Amino acid sequence: MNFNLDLATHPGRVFALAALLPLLPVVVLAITRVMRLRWGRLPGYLAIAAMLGAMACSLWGSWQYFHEVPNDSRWAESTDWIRIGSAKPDTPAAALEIGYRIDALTALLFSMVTVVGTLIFVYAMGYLSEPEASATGQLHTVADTSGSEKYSRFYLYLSLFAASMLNLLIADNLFQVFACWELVGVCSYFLIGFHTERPAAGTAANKAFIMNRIGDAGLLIAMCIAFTQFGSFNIQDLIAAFSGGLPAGMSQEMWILMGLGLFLGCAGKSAQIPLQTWLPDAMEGPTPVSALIHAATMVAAGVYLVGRCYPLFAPEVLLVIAYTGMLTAFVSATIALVQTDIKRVLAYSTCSQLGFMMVALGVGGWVAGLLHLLTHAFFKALLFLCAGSVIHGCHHEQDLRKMGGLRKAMPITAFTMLIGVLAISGTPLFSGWYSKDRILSAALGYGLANPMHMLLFLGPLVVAGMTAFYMLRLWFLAFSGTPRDPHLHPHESPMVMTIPLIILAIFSICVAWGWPLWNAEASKLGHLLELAQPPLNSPKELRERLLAEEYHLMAGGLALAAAVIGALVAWSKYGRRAPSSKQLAEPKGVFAEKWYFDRLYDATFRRGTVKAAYAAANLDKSETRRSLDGSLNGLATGSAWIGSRLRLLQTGNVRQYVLALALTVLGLLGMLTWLTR
Amino acid sequence: MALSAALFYFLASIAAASAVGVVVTRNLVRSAVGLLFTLLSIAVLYFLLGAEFLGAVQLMVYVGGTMVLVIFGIMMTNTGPTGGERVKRIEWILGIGLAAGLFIALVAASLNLVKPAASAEALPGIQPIGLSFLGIAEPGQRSYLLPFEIVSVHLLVVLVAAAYLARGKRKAVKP
Amino acid sequence: MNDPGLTGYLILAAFLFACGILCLATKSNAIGLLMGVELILNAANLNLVAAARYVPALKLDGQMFALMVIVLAAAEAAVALAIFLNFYNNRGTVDVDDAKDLKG
Repeated sequence: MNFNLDLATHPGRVFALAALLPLLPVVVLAITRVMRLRWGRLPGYLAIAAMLGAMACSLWGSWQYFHEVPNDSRWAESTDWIRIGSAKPDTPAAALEIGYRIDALTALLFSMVTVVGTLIFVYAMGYLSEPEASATGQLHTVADTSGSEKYSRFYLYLSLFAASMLNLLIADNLFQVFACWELVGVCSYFLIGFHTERPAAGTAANKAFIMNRIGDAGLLIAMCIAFTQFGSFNIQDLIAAFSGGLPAGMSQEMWILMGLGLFLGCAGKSAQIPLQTWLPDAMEGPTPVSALIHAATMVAAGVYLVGRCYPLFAPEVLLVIAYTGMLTAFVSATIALVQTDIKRVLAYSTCSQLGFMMVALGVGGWVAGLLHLLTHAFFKALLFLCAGSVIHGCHHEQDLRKMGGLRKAMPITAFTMLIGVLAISGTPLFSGWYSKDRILSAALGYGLANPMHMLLFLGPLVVAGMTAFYMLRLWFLAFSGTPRDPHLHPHESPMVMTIPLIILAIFSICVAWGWPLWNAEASKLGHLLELAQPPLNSPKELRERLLAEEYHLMAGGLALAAAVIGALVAWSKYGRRAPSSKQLAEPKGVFAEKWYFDRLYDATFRRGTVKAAYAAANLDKSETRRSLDGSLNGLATGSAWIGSRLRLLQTGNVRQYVLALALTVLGLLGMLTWLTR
Repeated sequence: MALSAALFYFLASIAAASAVGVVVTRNLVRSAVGLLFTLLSIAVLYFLLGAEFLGAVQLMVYVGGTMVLVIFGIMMTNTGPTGGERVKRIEWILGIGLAAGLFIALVAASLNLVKPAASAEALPGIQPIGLSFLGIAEPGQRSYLLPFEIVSVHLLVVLVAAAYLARGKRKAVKP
Repeated sequence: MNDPGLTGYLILAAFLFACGILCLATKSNAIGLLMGVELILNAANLNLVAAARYVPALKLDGQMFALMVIVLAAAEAAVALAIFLNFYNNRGTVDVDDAKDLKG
């Protein structure tokens, strides 16, 4: 085999190489686990090295890409993997392909995933050295016997996850996307249930996987429709088919169905309503997992797919996406207002921000949504890692009500977390401001062009205010004031954990900077993303975009006002004085019950499925005659009964046999006579 | 001929009456006697029909052989004069019904046949029968050499079998 | 009186046959059963010979058939009596109702 990558003619291959690099630790660790070798912390170093290599490749590749004119022949390749059928005169042979295609969106996301991934891999080395409690308060009852086993298993799954996610990003056809989609879901399942000794972790992993699969059913439907209509999974082919509205030979209902199916898959992955209940439970996994998978990357895959397949959605479907996003954002934000577990607040915040991104994509703010995806990855990862640092430093305490005044004991964590909180709230000059500003102006433009949908602007505005409130509440409860629990002896985390925090904090501030700095529209990342923006489809969209630009300042001002209001309320309740006992009480009510979603799903789906499962199991039991086993036994018993009744004919009495013979002869004679008359 | 018809009716009535006697009587010996008379009348009927050889064989084998065997059997098994009748009334009714049914069916079949006239020539006598047994048959007739031989072997086998089956193993009579 | 013809003989044979069946059905003694069987065989024989007489095409076949039947009936009677004697030796009775070993 020729190992010459031939980067001069196909520089895109460096991305493919980077996507496959994390598979190296996977293979090595799998082999060592089978052979039961104990390597201490070496798995971590191996995984970090692979990710560093991937990061280097991706940064170099992105540098090359952005200094060139986009050219598909240099940045995209594909090959047939499985050929289906043979070429007929009127239809070409179909095939399942493997390939990659690099464009601006892919390059940027790829780099983000590698950078954040590397930092989190490093962080996890320090995090894994100490056990943690689960979000529901279950502590370890089993002592950690072999610490090194933990390392190899953890980094095995993490590397597999990284490889699948990167492959998902560079895939050029829906089939490859789906395969990596499933792989990512599986890794999420393994990692959420990482602490195998806790039943809550296993349940949460099941929940996450099953809800993802429900979404994947929608994705499969969309893929099938696409393949039946166009004979290809290739995303570029599909986009070309849809350029100019509804293609010939496809009904409007089919188009909408395809879009809805695609969105269902993305909703499952990105925890939108109605498939959002798995994300908060997924906090049972270790905090680095929460940071990488459930904040920065995997949940972003849903938004990425919506962005990538943007031209495939009908306008009605885009509206559905926008409203779903808004609803999710609102519901999650209200739930986050009353949460007491530090990771749960961040989980609901993730749901909410993903809703923001969906709103942006739905109203036509393609660049806005995906820019928010990029910035959110950085500051959400930062926030989660800080939370992990807090948990680590407080000896596995996760309840916010027991913390307080950690600023003095953990200054670095406190400072970096403050940066993250400011970024997510949309403080000007922080990275989150640029993206949120763009989202809200896109929403305002859409609302002004279609006044009926003004809610799509007002909703996110209110949510922006709530975001500022609950994030600052989090910070105040944890870091300000005086310690509320005297038994807590917090300490700062080791350097292996704080250095990634600092790096991420720097990114959270300046990743979206452009020149001039105070102009939200001038973000460099935004400009880069615009290179990959799908073209306008109709004059309506053009009008919306122009309105967005025109009222940009007003939207930004309103957003800033909402954030400031939220911050002030938080400061007055939690920052100025110590929180009252009423505020520290156990939260009740609709928000605390997560809007009863969990209860609803439990009563309908879970109970029904369990009943059906028991009924199916009863088919096999032989006690009841209604079961399959029982009916087969009944069949046998019935035959035996018939046999025992027939047995009575055999009396052994010769005379009766004679009579029977005579009767038969008579019958035969009669028949013969009658037939020959 | 009137005489032959009269003879037929006479003999037929004897045969029928004796057969009824066989069935009705409870005494085993009496039914044996009835059987004897039935066989006798049938033999004479054969003579009437012109099958002299067959009539002679009937007399020798049936009357002289089988009836003697039956009498021997009755004597040796010694069930007493009553014969131990344990037949229920229902079986009588069923039996009579069936027999009547069969009789009616057969009679109906007989009456529906084409009624042929008696042939002018007599039935083949003993000479053609004997010659055909030896394999010499007139042209147009078939020879009965093979059935003759088969029956001979059959009789030999039956002889051996009966002798074996009835060998003396006189045990005490079980009550 | 008119000639009975073939029909008369057939009717007589049918009557003997019916008596034979009845005898088989109502005798509890094994020898009685044997008598019934003899009646039936004779009825069949009568049929055959009468047919030989009245149907010229049969020529020798009717008598030959009847001859075979007589011989075989004699053989069968011999074996039957041997069986009955055996049965009597084993059980002390020839009552057919006692032969219930094949009762299912």
